[in-house]
Amino acid sequence: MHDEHSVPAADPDSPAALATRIAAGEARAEARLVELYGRVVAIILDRHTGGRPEAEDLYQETFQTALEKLRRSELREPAKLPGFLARIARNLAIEHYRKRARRRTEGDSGVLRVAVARGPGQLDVLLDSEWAALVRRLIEELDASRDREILFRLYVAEEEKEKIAADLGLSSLQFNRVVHRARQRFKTLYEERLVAGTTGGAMIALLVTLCY
Amino acid sequence: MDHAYVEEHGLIERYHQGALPPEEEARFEEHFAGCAQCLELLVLDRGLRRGLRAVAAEEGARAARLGLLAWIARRSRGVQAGLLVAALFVAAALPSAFFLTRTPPGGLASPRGDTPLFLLHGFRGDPVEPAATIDLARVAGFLVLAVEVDDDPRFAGYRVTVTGTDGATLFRQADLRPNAFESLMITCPAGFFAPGDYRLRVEGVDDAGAGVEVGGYPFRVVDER
Repeated sequence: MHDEHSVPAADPDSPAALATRIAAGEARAEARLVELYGRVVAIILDRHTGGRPEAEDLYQETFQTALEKLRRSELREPAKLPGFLARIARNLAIEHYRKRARRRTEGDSGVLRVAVARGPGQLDVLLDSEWAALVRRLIEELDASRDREILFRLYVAEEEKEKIAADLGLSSLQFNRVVHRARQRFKTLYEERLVAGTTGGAMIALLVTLCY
Repeated sequence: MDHAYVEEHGLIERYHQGALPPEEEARFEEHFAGCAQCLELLVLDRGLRRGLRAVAAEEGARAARLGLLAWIARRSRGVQAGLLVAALFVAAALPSAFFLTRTPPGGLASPRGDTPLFLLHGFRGDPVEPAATIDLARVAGFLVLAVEVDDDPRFAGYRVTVTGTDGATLFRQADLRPNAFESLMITCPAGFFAPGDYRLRVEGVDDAGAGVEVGGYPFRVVDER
């Protein structure tokens, strides 16, 4: 008979194994869950909060909620652990803003105010300067001024891809190729910086871990 | 959800832009939560976006140092004092950004990485309606106007002039050079504009100081507060 709390012998960090280990009360598995999925949760919350400070509280709340459910073996399909975490993070963020909107609507004293968007933290600013250094190298390497224009309009001015492509007389495929090439080169520059063994390489790896 | 679909539909960049429909966004989140490849692409794409914006902000800050100081210099003494106080207030409200970005001489605040940027599009002739609208309700502190220009070797630099509908000049800045994005960036305090229609004229200026108009960029300022 299958024991739902037995630890699989294969990959102990696989989603199913991790969920099972947590249900079995293994404290190390709980820490491992945060290590493995912290970045996923941070990216989702960053997207839904627009980088506001409440993301930090929601991050804690996501793992607290997930761990409580996992300890009670409420995840019916342990292999779907990543999707389960994503849903919790998303739902908590959506519910947070619903509640806040209700409070604003019901508030009558004018005391409740929209939270001011977070100013960049020092780590964020440092990470931005690392990304900016890589971007400057990328821009220097781009042969065509058209490619620079595409990156600027897509990522900085946030124009619609279709509009940019139409303005420049490019097909969707040609446009995607330019963006894909730029991304690939950026990835290479990033990886080169990581493996260079420099202080900067260690710094960017650390910052990416801390800021997501 | 497979990777060809992710690539073909530009899910990575549309996710960061918040441009995915809610159902597709939820499905993509559940996918990338368990997909190391997509997760890496998301991290890199966000890095590329943040890096480009940081570079744009640096360029904007440089333009601000020139433009803002020049603008303040043309105001009366009383207005200058008020503007400097306002600028210092902005600096005090943004200690980390102020501390870690290049602080301009005299303590004026630099625009931040999230300073709103408005890319203006040129027209031949007079457009019926300005294509770009700036809502002051969504701008705090500074805004950046960006126009794309070719780095034309005939010109030693560029000059921009902002005029109101009555043709009166509100702002003029010379000796501009296109930045790394081949754009001219004009950074202004948000309070610079009252609601109304404006036109930004760009002239290429040769070594002898003669200007040739290379583009006109109409825009509208509204206040939806």
